[in-house]
Amino acid sequence: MSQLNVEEQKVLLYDPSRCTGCLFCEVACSYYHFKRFDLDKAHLHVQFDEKNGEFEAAYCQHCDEPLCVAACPKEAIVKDEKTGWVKVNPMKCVGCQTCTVACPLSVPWFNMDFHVAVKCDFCDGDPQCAKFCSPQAIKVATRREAWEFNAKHYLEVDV
Amino acid sequence: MVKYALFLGCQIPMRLPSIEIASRRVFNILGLEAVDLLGYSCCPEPVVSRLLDETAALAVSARNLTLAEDLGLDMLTLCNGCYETLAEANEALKHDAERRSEVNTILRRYGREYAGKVDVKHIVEALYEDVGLNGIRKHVTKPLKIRAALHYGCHLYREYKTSDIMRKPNMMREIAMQTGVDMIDYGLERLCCGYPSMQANEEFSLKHRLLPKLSRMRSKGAEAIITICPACTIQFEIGQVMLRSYGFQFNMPCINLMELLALSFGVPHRDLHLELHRSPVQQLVQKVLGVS
Repeated sequence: MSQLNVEEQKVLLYDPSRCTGCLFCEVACSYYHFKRFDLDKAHLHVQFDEKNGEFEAAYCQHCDEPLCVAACPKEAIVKDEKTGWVKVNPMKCVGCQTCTVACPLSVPWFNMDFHVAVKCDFCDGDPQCAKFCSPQAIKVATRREAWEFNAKHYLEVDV
Repeated sequence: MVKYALFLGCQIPMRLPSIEIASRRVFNILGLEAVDLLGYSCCPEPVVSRLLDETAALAVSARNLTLAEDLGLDMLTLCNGCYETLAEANEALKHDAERRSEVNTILRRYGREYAGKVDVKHIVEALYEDVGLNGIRKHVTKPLKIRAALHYGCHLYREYKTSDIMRKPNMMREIAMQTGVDMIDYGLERLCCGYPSMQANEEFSLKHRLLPKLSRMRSKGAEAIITICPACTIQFEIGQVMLRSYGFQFNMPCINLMELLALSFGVPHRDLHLELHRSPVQQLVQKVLGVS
């Protein structure tokens, strides 16, 4: 049985109104995981709509009921019962990319070097993307805070 | 007289000395005493150096902070990157006793120790809070009639006092307004100039960060870009040259806020050595002032 209080789970929360598009989050993520300054290797991606001047980010929500976990045929993706963070075990992954298709945000991506899926692992509790974000556009928050923010920002309703 | 330990950083004295000249002139005029921080090193750079070795980066920052502590002064930075590095390190060292102890163990090998008594201020904070807008405005003898677009720079949004990331950018805007410039709102003020992503992907940095900003500034009629951060200045100046190889022609002058203040205070443009810029700042100033 899960020991996790869903509302208190630590997740990443992105506020597009604070983002500058500097991509230090991607730089830090790729270096932390691959020791490379390679934006393509980052586990999150910030997109900038040049026409409207708006930002958005695709990043793992460490879902309560992750579709990537449900879709994986090899049980290579596991949601940690204590922390709620969803991680890929590269020793079990066969690189079928079903998780990429199943995820609404296509967060798990296929690493061509290792032929396995890779994704955000919450940096063992100290997410580098949040740590290096100057305007704190991406930060660590509770699931409850993320619900409230996203409902207000995207649905314009209060939770 | 307000007194600070001046942290010049690397880029300003080495690559953009006209900003240092202008800053010293502005300090004299406004009665801000900036004591040189002798023996300082790189701050170090706020992201890559911390990623490579966080403890080493913190120790380098702490050593710089001890130099200000020796003088009994708070530290003043002219660069956004230096500000974030030193303020971030200062926060960690002041509030995390374990980290401070670890770093002081390293510093003691070099005969130094940081007690956490220094505050770090960005130049826009010092100008806004210590001098004030009225104090600045009364020295403006040559208002500059330039249509200018502001670029704040990402590290200026780093906040420790409030959650309002526009606190320092708004200060910068209000200070710039005192010089008489006609401020152009172009809608992409917050967008990064591309300097950080340049290290990872040059084409992306130039075409998807610098180019949208420059295009929007030009379409809104800006004659010049006002920056405060030397890294952003380098990106705007060198980046415009690099964009030519991708088929985009820009030649917009990029002037630092301190240079703008110095000019509006009547400091002769020749004294500022604006010819050291890699964008046509000198030509713009000569045109505006009607001098050759």
